[in-house]
Amino acid sequence: MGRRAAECILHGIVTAVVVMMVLRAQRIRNPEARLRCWLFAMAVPLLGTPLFWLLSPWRLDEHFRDRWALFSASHSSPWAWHGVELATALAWLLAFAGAALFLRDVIPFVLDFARGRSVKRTATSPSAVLAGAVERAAAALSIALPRLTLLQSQHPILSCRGLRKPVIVASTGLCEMLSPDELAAAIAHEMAHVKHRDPMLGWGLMSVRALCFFNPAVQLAARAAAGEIERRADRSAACVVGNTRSLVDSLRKLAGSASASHLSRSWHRLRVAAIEERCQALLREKNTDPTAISPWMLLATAMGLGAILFLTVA
Amino acid sequence: MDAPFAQNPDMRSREFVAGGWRTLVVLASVALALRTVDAIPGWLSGLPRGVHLCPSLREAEARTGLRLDRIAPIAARTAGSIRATASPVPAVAIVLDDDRSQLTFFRSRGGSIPTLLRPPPSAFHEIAVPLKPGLSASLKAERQADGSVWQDLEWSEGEITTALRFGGRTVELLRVARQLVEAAP
Repeated sequence: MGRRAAECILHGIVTAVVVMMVLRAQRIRNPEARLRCWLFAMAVPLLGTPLFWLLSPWRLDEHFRDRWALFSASHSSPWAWHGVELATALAWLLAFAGAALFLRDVIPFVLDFARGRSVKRTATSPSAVLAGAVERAAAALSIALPRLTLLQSQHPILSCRGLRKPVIVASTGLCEMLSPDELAAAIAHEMAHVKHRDPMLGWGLMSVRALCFFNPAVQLAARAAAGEIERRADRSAACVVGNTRSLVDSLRKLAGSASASHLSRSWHRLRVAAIEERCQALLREKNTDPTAISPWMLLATAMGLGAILFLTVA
Repeated sequence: MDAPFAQNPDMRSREFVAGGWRTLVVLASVALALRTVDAIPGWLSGLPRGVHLCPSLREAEARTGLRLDRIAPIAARTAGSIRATASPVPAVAIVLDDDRSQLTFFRSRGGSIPTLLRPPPSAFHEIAVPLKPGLSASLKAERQADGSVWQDLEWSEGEITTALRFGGRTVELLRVARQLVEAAP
């Protein structure tokens, strides 16, 4: 069991490294393509590695390791300390790192969720500006009008919720803080999440992270995927409003005003840094970036990676 | 790659080929890096690829599937090192030290002892020695670079091949070998 978990970690790391290098080498900037690559990186240790065990159990034999394997953790057997091999110690260390990364993201999320539920907020009828922004974004993105909830709160709140029936939740504080153009851009961003069914994707990512809590590569790939989901929504919003500057301004205002009362300072700093990176990307990049990688190239890369992973044994 | 670039088929195919090369370089680099990391323990410990240093006899048994619990007559000596390999045939080499001389025990299943564990002896003298009725062993004497003479005794029972390499007296080597043969099931 331990050896199989170690192989999941090893395959996750190799896949994440290959994905990162391919994204750089091919200069892929399109968030949609990048998101698919990171989802692939998450899927490999979850599905690909168990498939190897199922189809070729002889991969784990000593003969295969010694004769054919590109890398076998058992070859580090000369390095042991008090009977504990280096490879085993390293696997444990990586598993702890994976669990730490998972807890690092899940604890603030759970606390945020729990506190949000405990605070009673009264809903009010949306203003004409807000309703108009939602209608315009829905028309531009060719999606059905989602339910809109406006909360009575001084804090700027804006989110897209709901797995099957999406709801856009905004607050009066948000409407006061943002100018009409910025509000339209921020709403377009959330509507892009509705279009791409991102809340469902987000829960899916969290489920995979919980399942592979010990795998640091899966945790990092999920973080990268979450970043690409946001960048994809940013791009769609910039297309809808036709004004990147107002979207950037709204993102910066929201990041600056985000309450750090129930989030740790370092977590808050990370969040602000991530938003600033998205703003820079929006200002720097063109929306016309194509996928830039053909399906044949993806297939060839996946097959090459599959061959490498087949010959990589924990 | 902007829109006019993408529409030009010649440029597109050139970009496709360049992309293919870049991907190939990435995959080759990763494969090479894995192979290098795999080889580092062998380089540092001086062990050839496929030979494992085992911390215990149980570990060596697990790696090779060979039964080593019948070597009690020689296991009383201090085990210096236990090396095991699974390829081309499962085999172990156990170096045993006492205060007088060094004895190395080899065992393999399904073929002769791999040269990874035991370099072929350059014998100047070879005779057949009976160990028990119906079982004889081949005793070779080989001279080392420092002028000392070592003896190499090898016999096979079924698919199991056993060998002993000893720097001491022949009488003692034969006594150990007979004890091992008697202890065998």
